[in-house]
Amino acid sequence: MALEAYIIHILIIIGIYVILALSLDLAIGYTGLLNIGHVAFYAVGAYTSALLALNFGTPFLISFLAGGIIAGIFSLVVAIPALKLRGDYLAVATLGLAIIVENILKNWTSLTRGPLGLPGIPKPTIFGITLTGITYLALVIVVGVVTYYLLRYLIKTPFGRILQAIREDELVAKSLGKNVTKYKTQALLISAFFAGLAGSLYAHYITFIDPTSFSILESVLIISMIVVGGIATLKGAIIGAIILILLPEALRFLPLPSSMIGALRQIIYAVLLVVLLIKRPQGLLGKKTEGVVTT
Amino acid sequence: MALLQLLLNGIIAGSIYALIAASFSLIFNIVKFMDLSPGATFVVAAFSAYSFHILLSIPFILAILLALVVTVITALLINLLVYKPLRKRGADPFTLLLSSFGVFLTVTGIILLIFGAEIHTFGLPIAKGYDLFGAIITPLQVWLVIISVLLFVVLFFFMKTTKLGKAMRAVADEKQVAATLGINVEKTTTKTFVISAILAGIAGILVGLEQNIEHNMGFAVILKGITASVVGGIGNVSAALLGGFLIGIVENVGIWYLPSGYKDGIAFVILILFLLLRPQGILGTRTREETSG
Amino acid sequence: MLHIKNLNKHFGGIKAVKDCSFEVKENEIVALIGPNGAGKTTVFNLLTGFIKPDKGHVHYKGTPLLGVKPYKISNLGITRTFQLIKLLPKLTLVENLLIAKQQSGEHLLNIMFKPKYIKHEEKENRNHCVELLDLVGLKDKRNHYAKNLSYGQQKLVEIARILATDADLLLLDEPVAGVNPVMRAKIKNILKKLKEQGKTILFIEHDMKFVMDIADRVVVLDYGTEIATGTPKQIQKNPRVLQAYLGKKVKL
Repeated sequence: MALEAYIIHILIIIGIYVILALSLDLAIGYTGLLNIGHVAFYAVGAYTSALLALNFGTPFLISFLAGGIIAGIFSLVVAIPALKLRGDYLAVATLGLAIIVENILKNWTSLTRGPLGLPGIPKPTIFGITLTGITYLALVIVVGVVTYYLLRYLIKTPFGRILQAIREDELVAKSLGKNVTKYKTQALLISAFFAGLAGSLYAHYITFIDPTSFSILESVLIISMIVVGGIATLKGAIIGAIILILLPEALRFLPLPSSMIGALRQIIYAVLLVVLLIKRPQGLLGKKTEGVVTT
Repeated sequence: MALLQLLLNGIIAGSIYALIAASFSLIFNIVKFMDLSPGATFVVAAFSAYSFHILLSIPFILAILLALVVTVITALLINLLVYKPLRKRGADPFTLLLSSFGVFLTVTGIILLIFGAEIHTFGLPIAKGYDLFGAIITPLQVWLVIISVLLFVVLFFFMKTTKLGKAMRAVADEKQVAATLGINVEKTTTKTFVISAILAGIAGILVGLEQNIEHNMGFAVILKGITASVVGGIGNVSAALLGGFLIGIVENVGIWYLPSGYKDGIAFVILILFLLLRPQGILGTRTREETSG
Repeated sequence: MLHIKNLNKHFGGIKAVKDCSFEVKENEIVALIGPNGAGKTTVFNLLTGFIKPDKGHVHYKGTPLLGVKPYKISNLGITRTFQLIKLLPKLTLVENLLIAKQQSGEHLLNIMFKPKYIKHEEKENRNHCVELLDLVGLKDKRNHYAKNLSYGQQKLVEIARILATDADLLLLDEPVAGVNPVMRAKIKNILKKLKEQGKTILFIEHDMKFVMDIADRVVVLDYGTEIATGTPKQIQKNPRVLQAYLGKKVKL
């Protein structure tokens, strides 16, 4: 692979994970919904978009948006446990849900072709231009930047403030007249929508998806990104995504068999997550809550 | 496949889930978080037994004992290096759960690095199974169920009668009170991790002997152990046994009605249903909720 | 304004609230007192929907409250503080107050379609919240994180926060518990000012001097039942009340 193509490839992957990390931070970091099953929304978005394009020849923009919307609708299923369960129970429930989704992707062969995956997903065409390489990167950057600014705007509105209040103390939010259930559902919906978009971007970039791309390990990777960058800081989510994608890339240049690289990647992610949780729970960029906020 | 065979398979799987559920429950009781590390000690025990017995040709019983020693050391290290510092800092249950996920992935990653992704087998001679009204059960499977149930009997009396068992229950109920009664909370916690690791380790070795071993065998097992624990009533030893058998039987009999690929999904559907509808489990009692002190 | 009739609640075998009846009239300051475990906080939790009663009736301005969700009760104009301070530690003081406002910017559709309007509304609300912080003497600290305040200051923020709700009926769970005399006097003045502004206050308190100073009427609970109601002076002389407190070394 030419160096330039390789760099573009890495940047596209970083961009997709930035969107995933930003969207998950809205649920975990800002709303306090301990969702370990974020990968399920990513998968639903990817499969929706790919299946629409493959089976109906839907134009990219439509299948792309459909990926986000169907993932959002699917989040309502998750919302039912999310509304009732607290803390670590929710974490285990969402973990279970992600595994159910993986299970369905593997077994609903008439729709998803199971472990064989979906090959030949078309590269997107916008205004007659087929996006590959640098143009695809441009698309990912546009979506990433829009995601970042939308979420940043959202958390600064009264809506975003309520999400943070729910994270800090649900009882207070309730006693001050906030419909906590409604806000949790909406936060999850927005979070899932953007994860679905990221899924669509992934599917149309790689042009092949199968259930292994959406294992629960992906969720751990995304959570690690927000923990590394600092929970509830959007910039942190971006930095976390960059670090965690680049770090294992360095392994590529070691003279090791690919199976060992996979294992090392997993170990690096996992050890980094544990060490950060112990040493720096607020992450690298984590918001400090000492002192004064200047506005 | 006959329904009876599926039921039998369910009991066999259930006895493993029950052991993992007990391993998980003990830690949940004392440290109050959902620990995925029994999934890791499960794998460590299976691979250690395989290494000692097959690769190093150490006699079977000795290899098993050595494997359990390695497993216990692993658990102690995890507690010392990860959970203890987190507990000291007063980390919330989610941070602990997440860190246990990290621990799990680190341990299985190391095993993947050493042993690779391929399936390994003890290659025990396959004994002829007993015929039970048309269903087949091998002697090893009979042993597996017996050992699991025996361990539960031992665990039950251990918790009821021994000093450590009583200390564990006291710490589980009320940490501060236990401390004022002169119970060393930290030591009791460490010992709980040891017992928990032994239970998960024995389960790992049993599965290794009965089936194959691979680096990622622990994940589904710990999640089903948690499911069994939630279904039975989290934090209760007898409930773990009940929940384990129930999950094992339901998911195996379930494939009588569903394509067998959905077997793994069944348990998690049950998990979510229980979390929503009866979070205290079958044997648990709902604790009173209060809004202020 | 608030009518409570035959309220009952038990936890396990314990009757926390038993056939409890009393009322609060408009623009009154009513103290709810009683020995520890008399069921005062449980009554608050029942009134605000945080727990469900076994039986009984509660009406607020004629509207039944039982079975209504906490956030809906709050939106009817009833708000409360908690016995243990519940501020949002990682939000600044002014943000803690802004949470109490009902704003159009809390709804996604408005965020999408009326961004200018919500900005304007937020600005006005922010100014009002700063005024409220000024009222409790914490204007200077408006951009500090709540968790960095002293205990007494946090109590003041809690009171400022319920003012930001524009509720008519304020339920305060031990507003001066653990607070120093200076702060106590400050809180007293604030509550008096609120009454002048037309608010109605029901509060739980163990500090009897504070109760006698400020309450128009006192309702005494014992074992979950209302045993006496009257002006502070009447209550001080009521033999049943003295008996309930007997041996508990409370000066009336």
